[in-house]
Amino acid sequence: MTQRDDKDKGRWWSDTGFEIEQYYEPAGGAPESVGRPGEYPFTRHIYPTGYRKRPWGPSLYSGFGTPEDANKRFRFLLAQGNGRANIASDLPTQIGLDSDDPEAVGEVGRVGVAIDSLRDFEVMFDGVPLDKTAVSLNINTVAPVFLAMLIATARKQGVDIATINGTLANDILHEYIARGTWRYPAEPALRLTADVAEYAVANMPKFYPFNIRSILLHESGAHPGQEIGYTFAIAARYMDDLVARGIDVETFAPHMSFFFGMGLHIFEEAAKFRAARRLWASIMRERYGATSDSAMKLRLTSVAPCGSHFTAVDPDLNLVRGTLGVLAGALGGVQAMLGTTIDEAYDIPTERTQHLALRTQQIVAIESDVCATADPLGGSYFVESMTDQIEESARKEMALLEDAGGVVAAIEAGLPQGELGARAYELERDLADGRRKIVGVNVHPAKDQTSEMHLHAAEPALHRQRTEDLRELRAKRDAAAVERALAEIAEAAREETNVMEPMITAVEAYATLGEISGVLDGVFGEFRQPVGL
Amino acid sequence: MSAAEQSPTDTAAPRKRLRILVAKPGLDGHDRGAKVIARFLRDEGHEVIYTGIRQRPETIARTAIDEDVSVVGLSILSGAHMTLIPAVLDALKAEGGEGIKVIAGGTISAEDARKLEDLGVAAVCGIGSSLADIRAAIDKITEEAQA
Repeated sequence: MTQRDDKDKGRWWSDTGFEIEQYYEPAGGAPESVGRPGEYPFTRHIYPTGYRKRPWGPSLYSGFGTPEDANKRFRFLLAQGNGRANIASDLPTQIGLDSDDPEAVGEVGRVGVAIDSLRDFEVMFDGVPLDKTAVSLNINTVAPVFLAMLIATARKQGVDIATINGTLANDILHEYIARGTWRYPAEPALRLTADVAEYAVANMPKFYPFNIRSILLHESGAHPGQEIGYTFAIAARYMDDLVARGIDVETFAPHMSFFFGMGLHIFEEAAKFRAARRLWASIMRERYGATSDSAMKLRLTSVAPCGSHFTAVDPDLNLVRGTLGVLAGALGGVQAMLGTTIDEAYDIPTERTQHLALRTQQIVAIESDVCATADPLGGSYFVESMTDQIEESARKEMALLEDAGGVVAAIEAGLPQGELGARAYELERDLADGRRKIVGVNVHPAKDQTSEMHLHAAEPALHRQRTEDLRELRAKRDAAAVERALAEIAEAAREETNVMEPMITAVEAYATLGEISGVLDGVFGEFRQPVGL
Repeated sequence: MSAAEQSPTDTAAPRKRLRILVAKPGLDGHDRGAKVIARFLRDEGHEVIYTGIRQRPETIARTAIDEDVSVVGLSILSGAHMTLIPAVLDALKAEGGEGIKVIAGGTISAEDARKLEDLGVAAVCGIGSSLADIRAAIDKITEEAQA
């Protein structure tokens, strides 16, 4: 793909000399439901220029061990052209447990970085200036604590929080359906979700306080209609709560962002992203009365592809699956892509496997012509038909949850959990019976079904070290200030006022994640999971 | 025909009906696999109880004994299996449930699998295990119990 000398005039040519239009449409224009890139209903792309001015951003997810380890990996990835510092936390952190909690034994620093206090954020972002580096905080249950730590870290760096660019997952409802790192019952947890959004929308214009996790629904077995439908039912609940607080749709809607899953059926996946954009635009206009384009555009991050589509056998071949994933995301017009690494079935990635995933995205973006024209599949009979079918299915699935007394009632009854469980089982049966085919698994099966991939060994020393660090932190800090700040958080939670200011005060006094989460237990209680298959 | 080639939907010889507890110890909330296996074992004719996620090892052992199961299947994907599985085995022993067979599943390396088997785990179904592999593990336990 070449932009010749007169690219300033917006004309692009292929390497072989053929001119490429910014987008294509039939004489007389496409049907209204398809429209033009950058125009309602945004089926084709959210920008009229597609990827010409702004290709998708590669965003590899990392974090393990200590904040020092995570800092080193962020710097490595950023130096390689990764778009942001995208943070994975360990399970105790995600649930709001300190590293020295008895329940955390065996889990500290395993699936992500261990975070206990502001000190860990300071170390993690050392040399990573928050006014210049976009961040993604993949956290839900303790989203307000993470936002408070991010704000406090920015202040320590001398950075105005209005300049922080990034996303915070803050999607508590998917935790109950698919992911499982919940803590509080859904209704009070939703208040925290809205507190985070309310604070960010008012104070952080470049920040997205929602990055809603469709991906986890996909990984739990959702088909494209369920993935979109359940996600939008969840998002609608978050937005209803903001509307109820008197926040205008035009104020919060531009701060919504989404993180979708993806399989290897590239045309179906591209159609899924197109259908999602169209349905979202219609919901925002019809149901919420949005009027600006910005409030109706669906901002999409995807993975490329979901880890569940990578195999444990012959893991090198996952690189090919990864390339298909990147292509599907590009054809679907997503704004950012996480890369799945070839060792996905085994462990958190190494620098080498992340390098391969990142370069895969860069090769597809730079060496192919996917960025040359917006929505290259637009008008394809196949893809337009898939787009229509997926949109219809998504509307049905969204209604299924909303008509069950609302998405919270549906979750408490185990409805979406059961639907996805049934589908995951069906997919596994299909694989066992050969109706679904995977190379190396049930077609051309690999001779050696096990691969000696390196797996991270448990590091009991890490647990001991962090326990010691916490003891030191608690001894050094102003205990009275911590007590006071924690009491203020409890009071805000009881009074139903926004918890963010007292959270920031507590974090700045070096109250720990576990202490803050524990204080809220006293007000909110604990979620009781509906147990079913 | 090897276990791997046999389709799980084949009509197999009548099997011994077992009571099986499928459990998720620790903090890991990824239970797609555990639920798939629970549904599969139920379709195989076994009585299956699923604990839900984030269970303490002591709670799992207590449930296994109270429910009078002969097999406990533990699923752990976070990598904490070398902490949590021995804890379940210890809790079973402490409660008088040492006769209950334990099958471990998850991201378990070959080296860890050997260590777990040395500690008394009856079978390990690691990364990439198929439904047929799960069936084979259950059959092996049944045969050993009858021998």
